Amino acid sequence: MITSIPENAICQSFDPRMNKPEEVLKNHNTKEQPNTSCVAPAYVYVEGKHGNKFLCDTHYYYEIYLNRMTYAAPNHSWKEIGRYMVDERERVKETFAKNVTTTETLGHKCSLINMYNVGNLGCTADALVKVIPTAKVIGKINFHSNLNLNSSEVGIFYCNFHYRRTYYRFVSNGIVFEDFNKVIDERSRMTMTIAEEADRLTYI
Amino acid sequence: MITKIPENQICQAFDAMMIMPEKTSHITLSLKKPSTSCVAPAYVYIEGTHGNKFLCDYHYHYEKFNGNYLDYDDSGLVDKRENVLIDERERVKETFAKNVTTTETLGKTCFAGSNKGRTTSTANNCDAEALVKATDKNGNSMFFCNFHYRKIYYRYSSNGSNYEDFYDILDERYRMTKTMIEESLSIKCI
Repeated sequence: MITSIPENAICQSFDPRMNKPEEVLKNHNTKEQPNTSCVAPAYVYVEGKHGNKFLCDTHYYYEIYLNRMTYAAPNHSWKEIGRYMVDERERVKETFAKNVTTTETLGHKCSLINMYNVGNLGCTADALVKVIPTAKVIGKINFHSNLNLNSSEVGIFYCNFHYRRTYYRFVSNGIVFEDFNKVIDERSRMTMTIAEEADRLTYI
Repeated sequence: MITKIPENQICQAFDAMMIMPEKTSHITLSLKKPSTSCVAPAYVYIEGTHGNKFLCDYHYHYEKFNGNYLDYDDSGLVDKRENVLIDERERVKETFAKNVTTTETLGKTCFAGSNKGRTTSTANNCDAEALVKATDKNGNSMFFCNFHYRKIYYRYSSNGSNYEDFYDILDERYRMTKTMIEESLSIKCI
């Protein structure tokens, strides 16, 4: 029985939404479909109605969030996803930058807008990371494009959750995030737990 | 160690695409968004890149078809596939209607088509031989191959409804000569 996340275990999610329509690929000047798998470190292990698997913090909550808002057959609720669960998400904080004294993200909100219902609520979380794109990703989907482009004039602000999601979308497609972006990581200011942050998200 | 599909085991797919309106606009059943889970019987068990799970015939093929099994390590791109440990898809034939002699689907092709280019296939419509006729209450008929009939049937079931409450079904799948694996390999759109 698995009681802790093995070292080097990576996320085992399958995300068909990464399979983009041809028009999206065209807009990004690429013919390469993004990866429908994820290579982020796993922080959760679940056994339940969607099988037994290791998941990263993002994909665990993504699965919970989507399943919670959709129809569930009797005895098939989202709570059954983790009938048995190992949750080590709090270890995400070990990845936060240390000894940071800047406050550039203070007073800013996460830049993520609601792409599916433009004008509706996007992410309202406090920003903790500022990303300044320094080079253009060529030949692959640029995952920053899901953001309000106006905000990129002063940098793109992210909460921890959406920063990590974006970061690993780049990594899962073979792109070193830091090669294309300057990152100011002020997540040391985060007072919520990782689980609390996820539960308060207004938009995935 | 799992050596066969347990009785009453249902599919364990998590299908995030179900929240995309174009995928489920034909299903207006509950006030909630369509289910991202599936309640179809499982016929396949896999272990691998996407965990250990039981899948129905449709979601197994869906994941295989739509999965870009890419991983990146120090040496670059790695293609990681699932290990299919149990494949009992041929048992789907046990669900075909018995003692059917009609041939109304003969010469027809499957109605299913891709959604707005979302498929990666270059062919956007299923041109498989039709084996099922579904007729709505107004007398309008659609024809399906086995694969797409099962897909639509269980999409209704997974959302708490019975497809047969909306359509009269003529099941002529007794005419199917391919194996389930052969059929899935010839599917041009999911």
